[in-house]
Amino acid sequence: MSMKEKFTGFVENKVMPFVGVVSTNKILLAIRDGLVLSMPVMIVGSIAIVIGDFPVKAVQDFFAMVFGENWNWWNWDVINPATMGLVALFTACGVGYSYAKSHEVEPLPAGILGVTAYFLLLVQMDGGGFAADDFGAKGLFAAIICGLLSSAIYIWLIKKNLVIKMPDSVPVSISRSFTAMIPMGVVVILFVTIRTIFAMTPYGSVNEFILNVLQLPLLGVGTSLLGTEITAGFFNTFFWIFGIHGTLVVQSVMTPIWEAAKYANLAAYQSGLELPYIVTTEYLDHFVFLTGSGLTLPLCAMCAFKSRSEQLKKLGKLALVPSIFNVNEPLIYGLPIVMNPIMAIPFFITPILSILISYLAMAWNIVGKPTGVAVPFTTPAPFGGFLITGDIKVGILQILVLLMAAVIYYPFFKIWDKKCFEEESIS
Amino acid sequence: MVKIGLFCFAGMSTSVLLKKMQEYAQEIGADCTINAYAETKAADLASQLDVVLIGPQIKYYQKRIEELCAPYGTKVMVISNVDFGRMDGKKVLTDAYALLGKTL
Repeated sequence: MSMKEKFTGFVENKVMPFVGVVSTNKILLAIRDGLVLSMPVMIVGSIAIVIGDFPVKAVQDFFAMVFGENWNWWNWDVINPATMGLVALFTACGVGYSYAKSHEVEPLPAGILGVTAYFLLLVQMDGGGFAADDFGAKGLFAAIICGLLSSAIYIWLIKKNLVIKMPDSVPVSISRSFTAMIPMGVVVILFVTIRTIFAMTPYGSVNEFILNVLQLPLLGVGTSLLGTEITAGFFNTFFWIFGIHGTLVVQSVMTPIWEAAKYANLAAYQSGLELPYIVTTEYLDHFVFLTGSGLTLPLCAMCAFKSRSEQLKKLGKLALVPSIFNVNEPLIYGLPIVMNPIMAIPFFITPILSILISYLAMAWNIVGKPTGVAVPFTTPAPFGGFLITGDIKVGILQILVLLMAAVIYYPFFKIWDKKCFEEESIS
Repeated sequence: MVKIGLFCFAGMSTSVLLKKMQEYAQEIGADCTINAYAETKAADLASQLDVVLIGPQIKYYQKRIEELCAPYGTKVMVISNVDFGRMDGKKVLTDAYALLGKTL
């Protein structure tokens, strides 16, 4: 067996099953889908922020002149608390819902149960009432855990048939509303107990405990330069080279961290504090998965306009528009980059360098950090970079990174084009 | 009427292939509907489709999707790297019909 066959065998027999287990894990999927469920609301909330807090001062001044000083009253005080400010509640509901759905039980009660569970653990302020920031970024991990745990209890009890059954003559919609009652009761008792136990610890509440013991440490490691190089830099590329959707695999593990970092930044941005994180969902979409994993837009343009091979030219033109909007599967499979040792080299190097350059530029405050606004991953450069940070320099940085990618890809493109051209001339 | 669903991440990357398949289906007058969906929609749509085609980038979902489709007799196929790379709508549509024991 040759080296190549051995390696391919290893990937097929060892790596693929592992990826299958991780990517189809019901818990991880429920977390991812639960977070995705609130995406439309988050994007609408973000649009309000981008307009209300427009990154160019002249535009703000203009609006103030036309509509009065207080023109953006609807932004931070009205729309934001109703959208981004509720992310923990949406997540508790979404995760509970998705988890129940994957177990094929009525999902909506599980979503509601998730929110109840989350509220049961919140500690009221002195004098009553909940603190608004308990509903937002701070509670994201706690919300995920509440959603999962309450939903798991609900699923378990339903599968055990521990539900109140109505006679057949009772309409389905009414008997269904009784189904969730026992699970709801169990969840309430359990969560109140948990709350009481944690009240005796120095943390005071479960949410503080999860925030300090789980969320903050995980975010620290997961959004560090090294952590990002390993997850988004190495593993993402590695899986793609074998034709697996690396981004999806990495995201199934990293989404909670990248999302929590985003919302933490937004909370800091709103309060005018220094932004705590660089690596957020938006950072990755617009610097690592920019024009698709491997930053392949320059390669695609070379294929379209510079190749001697007819096949590459056709492919380049086909893949060009999707690439601009950050989707590059046509190129990855068409060139192909999959299982291609020549193209694997630049495909590996480029994202790793892009992370290094953009991370340091943000860490050293040469350019702005992501403010936490949610922008669709399909937003093209340089608009994406500008919108996620409110800093025009970040848009320029995106262009520079793509130019760098062009330099890295060029020699490998030449080799591949020559090979394809020669094959075409023979046949 | 044959109902075909293409599944990939967010239903975006298969859009080019989808267009090629639709063009070919129209050209030869095949009686079918072809749509692209996010992989998360598989559970909802398994019962409504005749053929489920999976993008090669999420081929590790195959087993899960097959489990979802089995009760309804929905056929499942992973599109090969080469067909996906060439965006070969004709080949993929022919293969999809072959799964149903039909010829185009």
